[in-house]
Amino acid sequence: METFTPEMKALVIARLEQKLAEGRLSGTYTLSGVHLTPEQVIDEVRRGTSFGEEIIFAQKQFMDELKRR
Amino acid sequence: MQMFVRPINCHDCGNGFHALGHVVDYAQQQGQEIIDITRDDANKDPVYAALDSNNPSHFYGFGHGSSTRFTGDSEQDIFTVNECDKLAGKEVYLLSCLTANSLGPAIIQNGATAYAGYRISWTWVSDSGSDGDPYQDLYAKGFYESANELWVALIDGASFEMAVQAAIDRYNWWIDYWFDVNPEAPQSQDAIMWLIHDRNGLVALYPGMVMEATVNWPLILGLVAVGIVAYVMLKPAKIRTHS
Repeated sequence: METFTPEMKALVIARLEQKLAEGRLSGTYTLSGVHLTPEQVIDEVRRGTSFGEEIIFAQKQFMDELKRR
Repeated sequence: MQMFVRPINCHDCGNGFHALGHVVDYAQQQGQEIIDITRDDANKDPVYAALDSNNPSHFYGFGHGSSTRFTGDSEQDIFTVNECDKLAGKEVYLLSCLTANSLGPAIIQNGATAYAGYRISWTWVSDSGSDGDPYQDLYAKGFYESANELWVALIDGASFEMAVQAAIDRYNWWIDYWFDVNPEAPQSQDAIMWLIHDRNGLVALYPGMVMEATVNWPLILGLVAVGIVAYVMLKPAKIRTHS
């Protein structure tokens, strides 16, 4: 997994907060037993957990896909 | 013979239990001989007993996982990096989190003929919780249908490599669906994001496969730099000794 700069982390948190305000941020389920509400998704990124890193990585991949299209 | 393991009582396992049930139904419709280990039988002792008595050629497991373990209905280990030799000689697909990092390679090293699984936390979005049939949920269906496609393709007689590609193709179909057909759905962007994450995290391993070598350039350059510095510092001393 990539490591992310504090700037990138802050950018992702801002984007997630915007999506939460717009009602477009979903909760997630994982097969490692983590179930997060939308608010907890943001908290996970803030706390820098391993799944928080995966959330940032997933956001990056999504942005790459948007650019590709 | 194909063996399915699908727990239901572990956290958020209801969706996977019902999703894999669709594959079990499909295999039976196709006349395949199967063993369907479910609910509290989806734990280590009953699974090992079924493996010993039936010797299936394929093992399809759904459940929680980590880099080093795959667990069952009670969330206790079924396979670990130190105990996975029961899968020798089988094609294995684990719909679980992170097992491709260490458990997958261990499964291959212990004699499995093929392994597919995920190097990431396999993540899905659901509008109706995690208990019911995900095929009835607007968002969850795409995730489970894509993951199931690997099993479906194998039942249809595809090679393991083709089956992995079939799953990737199905992920892509759903990603296109959310981009092009239903982009206005409230969580369409998150559905796309996690489908990409899961698709990119799918890994297939085979015996003799050269594992991806990672070159630690910072370490190598650091060692070279230390070597140069040491050479420069020692060289004058050596000259002085001999002069």
